[in-house]
Amino acid sequence: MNTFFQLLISALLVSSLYTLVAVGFTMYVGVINLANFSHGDTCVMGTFLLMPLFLFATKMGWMTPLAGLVIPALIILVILVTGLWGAGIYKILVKPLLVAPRLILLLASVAAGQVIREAIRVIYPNGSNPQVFPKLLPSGGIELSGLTLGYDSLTIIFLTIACIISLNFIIQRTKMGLAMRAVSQNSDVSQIMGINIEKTIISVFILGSALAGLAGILNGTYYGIAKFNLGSNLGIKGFSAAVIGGLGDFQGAIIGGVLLGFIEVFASAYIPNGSQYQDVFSFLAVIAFLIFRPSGILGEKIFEKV
Amino acid sequence: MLEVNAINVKYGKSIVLQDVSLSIQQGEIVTILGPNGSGKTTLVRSIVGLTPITSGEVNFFGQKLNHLKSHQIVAKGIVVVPEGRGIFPKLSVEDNLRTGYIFLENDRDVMLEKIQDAYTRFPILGQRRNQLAGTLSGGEQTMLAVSRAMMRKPKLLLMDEPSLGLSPKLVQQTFNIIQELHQAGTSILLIEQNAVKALAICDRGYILQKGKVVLNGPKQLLISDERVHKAYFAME
Repeated sequence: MNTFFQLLISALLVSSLYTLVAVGFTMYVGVINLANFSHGDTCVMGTFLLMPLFLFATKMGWMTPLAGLVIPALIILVILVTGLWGAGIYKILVKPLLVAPRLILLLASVAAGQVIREAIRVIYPNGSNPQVFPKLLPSGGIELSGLTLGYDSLTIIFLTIACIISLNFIIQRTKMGLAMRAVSQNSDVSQIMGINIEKTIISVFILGSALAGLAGILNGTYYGIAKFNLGSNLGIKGFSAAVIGGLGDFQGAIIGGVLLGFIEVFASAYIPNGSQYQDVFSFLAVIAFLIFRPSGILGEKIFEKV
Repeated sequence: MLEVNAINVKYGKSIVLQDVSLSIQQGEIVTILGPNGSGKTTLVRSIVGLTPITSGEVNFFGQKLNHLKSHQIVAKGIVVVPEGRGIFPKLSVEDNLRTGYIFLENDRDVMLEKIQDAYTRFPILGQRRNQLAGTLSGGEQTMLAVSRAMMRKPKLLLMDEPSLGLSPKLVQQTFNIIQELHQAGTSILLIEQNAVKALAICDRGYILQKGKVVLNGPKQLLISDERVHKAYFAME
């Protein structure tokens, strides 16, 4: 029974990480119909931004007395920087290509991801090799009848839920969110309702990239390791979760992320030799969805217009 | 108030509008009639900046609109009921109404008041306020589009075939609302295929054919013109 609960917790953790990536991924699809394949690499950018900052703070001796303040501050700093990166990507890459066919923008996003990946490899000391990610979250945990709930795990799950709730609030209850939902449905009509679509799209890029930054940090803390090329895998997982839930659908991305996490963890635990094939299970699920229900769980059926 | 001076619009090599000029004075209803493909919708789109103009200019109260973005143009006091109603199908009825106000004005109380006005005028919208607008019937969607247009007090209202695809009763209702808005002092540019109804309520009109204005003048002149008569009233 205990193994089952341990598995449940790690499934929740993996789900949290995937959901965070998927929610960002699906926002781009929802609002400007773009599969942004640099999203995973933006996450890794967050991972690799945090490490030198952490080392610096440790060197300055801020960590021992003030870790509880400094670490959140560092995380916020990284989120701000990746958010800024999102704005930059919009200005440099997306805006000039907005009128081009979306496929071109998609390829451009693949290129942007490549730039991040190679930049990390070249700039970061010994960047081609895996790096040890610092322990950011408190160790220890709560013991519940032989079951350990680590504080770090709880923090990751809690932060993910907090992010999703605030994002949902932004989308459903604020003027900016209304603009995003309107632009996603009809950008011409949105403009004549007075929506500044450029401002709306740039907010999507800032929000999405900021979210990616946090996802990267949490991913690093969970696995304790940082690799320059983790982004493509992470991006594809986010994409897969978004596809399973229904591309462009916010709630769909959450469902997809959770489902993907559970499939991966439980399949690799209960299928003999499964852990070697962890990725295979999730991609099989995606392929099954693409074949049998390409619009995803929540996505509407795509009708051929006559 | 609105002056369109000799605008040309091209899509690639094909000319959609050729030297189109028109003007609207304060308080007027001006109609633009023309068959499908005559460039009526393109005309609306170029006035609000959704379709770029190749040459010519559009002035609103003496200000040139040519190089402004659409959201800046409508902020000057233009409200549009776009072709095909342009409601947001996956937003609730109430959110659709909000989009007509919130991006250009700031007074929350006024917004809530206007929303209530819409529900008083069309109780069915009030009953369906939380329903997705895409689930409304065609007539209800028109009510929503018109109500959304009335959320702000426009200086100029552009309506692109508001009566298209409506039952005769709803057409009448829509035209009643247009007249009501006109009596309240709104200037209206009405694009229509329903020439009988449009000519009945307008002050002046323009006939557009293959991207050119072939005739313009006060409504009596248009009604008595033989070509107009042949094209639009022959069946009556």
